[in-house]
Amino acid sequence: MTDPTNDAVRVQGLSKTFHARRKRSAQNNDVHAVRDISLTVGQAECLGIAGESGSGKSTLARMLVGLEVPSSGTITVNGETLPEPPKAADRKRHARRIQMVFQDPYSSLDPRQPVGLVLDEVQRVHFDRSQAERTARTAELLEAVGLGASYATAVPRSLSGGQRQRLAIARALAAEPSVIVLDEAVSALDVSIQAQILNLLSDLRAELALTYIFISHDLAVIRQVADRVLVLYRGQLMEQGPVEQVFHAAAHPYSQLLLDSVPHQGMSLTQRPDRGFLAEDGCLFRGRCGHAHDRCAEEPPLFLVSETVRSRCWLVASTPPVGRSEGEL
Amino acid sequence: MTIPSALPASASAPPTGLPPGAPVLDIQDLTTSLLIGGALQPIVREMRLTIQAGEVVGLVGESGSGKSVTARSIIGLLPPGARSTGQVHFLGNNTLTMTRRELRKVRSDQIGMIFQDPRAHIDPLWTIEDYIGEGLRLHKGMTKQQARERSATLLHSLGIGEADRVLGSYPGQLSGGMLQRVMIAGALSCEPKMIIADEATTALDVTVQSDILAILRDLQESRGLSLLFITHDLALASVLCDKVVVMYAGRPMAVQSAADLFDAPAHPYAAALVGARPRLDRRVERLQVVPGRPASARETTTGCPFRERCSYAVADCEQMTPALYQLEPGTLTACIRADQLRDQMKQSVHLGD
Repeated sequence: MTDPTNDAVRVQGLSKTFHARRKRSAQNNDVHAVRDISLTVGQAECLGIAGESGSGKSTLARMLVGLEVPSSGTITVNGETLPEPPKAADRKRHARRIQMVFQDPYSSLDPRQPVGLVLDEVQRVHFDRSQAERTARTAELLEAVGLGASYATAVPRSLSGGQRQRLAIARALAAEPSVIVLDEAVSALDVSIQAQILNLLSDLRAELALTYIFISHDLAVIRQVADRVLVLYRGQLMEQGPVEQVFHAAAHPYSQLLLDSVPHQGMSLTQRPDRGFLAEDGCLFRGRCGHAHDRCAEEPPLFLVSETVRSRCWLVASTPPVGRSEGEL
Repeated sequence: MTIPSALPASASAPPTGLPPGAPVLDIQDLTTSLLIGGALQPIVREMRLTIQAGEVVGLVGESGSGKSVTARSIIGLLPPGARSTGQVHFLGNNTLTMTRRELRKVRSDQIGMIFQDPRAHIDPLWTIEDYIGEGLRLHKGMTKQQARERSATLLHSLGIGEADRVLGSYPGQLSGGMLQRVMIAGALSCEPKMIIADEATTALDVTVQSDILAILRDLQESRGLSLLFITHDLALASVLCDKVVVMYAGRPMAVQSAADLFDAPAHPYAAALVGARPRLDRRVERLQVVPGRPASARETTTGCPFRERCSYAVADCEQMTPALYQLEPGTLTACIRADQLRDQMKQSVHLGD
């Protein structure tokens, strides 16, 4: 299946439901981790994905790179759609196109596998190269992420957190993908190291015209790296738009709540009186929303707030709702 | 919202033997070494810190800077073989020379601790009632019923509506934010004079974090509690704290008001931390980078521990290990060039404003 548009990533109606079985209980314990998400990412664009724990950020990331099988929906990278179910060859081709960097460089790398071997292995899987070619490429990759070729013989165990994350980026680059999914990739790092890695990612993106899907709970980091942002709540897309617009004037009360909660100077420290309830239908956020009214019992569609901003909230209902076909923009 | 006090008389009485205006906590020349690989290695060196009654002091720095070891030195919660020298005067008594029995008394009803991960600190096989009530029954001589009522009042004051359900629950049945409130309730149960919060909101979502911050602020205002708030997040410290102590490689680098830290940092390391952080209000062209990685106390020798990463370092920085001195009233620094660099540091945090 081919896709006529020039988007780097195109996701349509993606959902993931985990079925939790409980014996002797008629109760439905299904967890809707991701609910009908559609998105596109342009070539060399950086799409930020924000949300709290349980918002489905990581499940979405894992489905994008093929680590998790979607319950429904399609994922298209560079015009090629991952078939359902994918065969081994499909998965391998998919992995050439889209790679992932994980949060924890301590658990996502074998502590005793030498750095050179980590990068060699990726190349052996994806390319037909001689040992000499692979070694030369390994040196290039290590230079590109600022480690230097001399690190090829080091083991991850002897590297610092920042160095390990550089290696994780080099490993993702080794497959020469056009898209990299970064799942909380700088969240575990000290602030001075975090700045180094964020600058490195921005350089690599400019040099290699990479497309990033940057997942973070840290809104300031999203503000710094992303062109556009999606705000997820309990698996559902609540708002999307250019970072400047969303951060300056959020169209969804949930986005606004997130932004207000980030520690900043002059912040008022008052406890919100009620944590509310978890709505199971209608607007999923209405139990915590200060603007909730009767209509919120009905599920709001994604409304078009402006040419580029969409919000799933009845507050913006005066604007035309986004049709199914448009909602994927 | 106010936190009702079950034990009014003892809670509000001035601590005995303490002159008026004396700090609740006064740390001088604290050096703590831990047993690593069979040898004692310094982790905290010549640490100084004071907290007045009702004051909120932030202790900030990157990993390995000695924040947690400083906190644990105060209450004698260090691993076996550790050694602390110097003075840690809490309510006038040096906790470093206390017996284990005396330290236990301090920990049980004078200093409350809140840690980052409540799941690691609350026994999963105990109900919340057991957890919060333990101190009340052991140290305050309450009956089970009294302890339960007091626990319910505490939970209620922390914004938990259904206190009865929570008291009967096990930790595994509660969310992270709820469990963090339970840990705060446990820390408050015996009416401490001071709370030490070690990365207490780090693992929480921002919306829950802001609720916990509001609770801590309220406790400080309504009860006059002193708070030592340990965090790696400068913005977080600036929201809650009156005064911030910046640590690096086990040493204090700067002590200044939270507002000044962002506006006019008193140490190049403090300026570097502020400049390296992405901002919520706008994108910066390029984040300011501090080269290298954070050092720990055992890696450093004579001289300023930050000099190798510092863009302002001069030959003198290698010669002497700087101690805190007063840059201006209310502001201490360990940088020998702080006075000369004042304008440059100020500019560096306002780049692009």
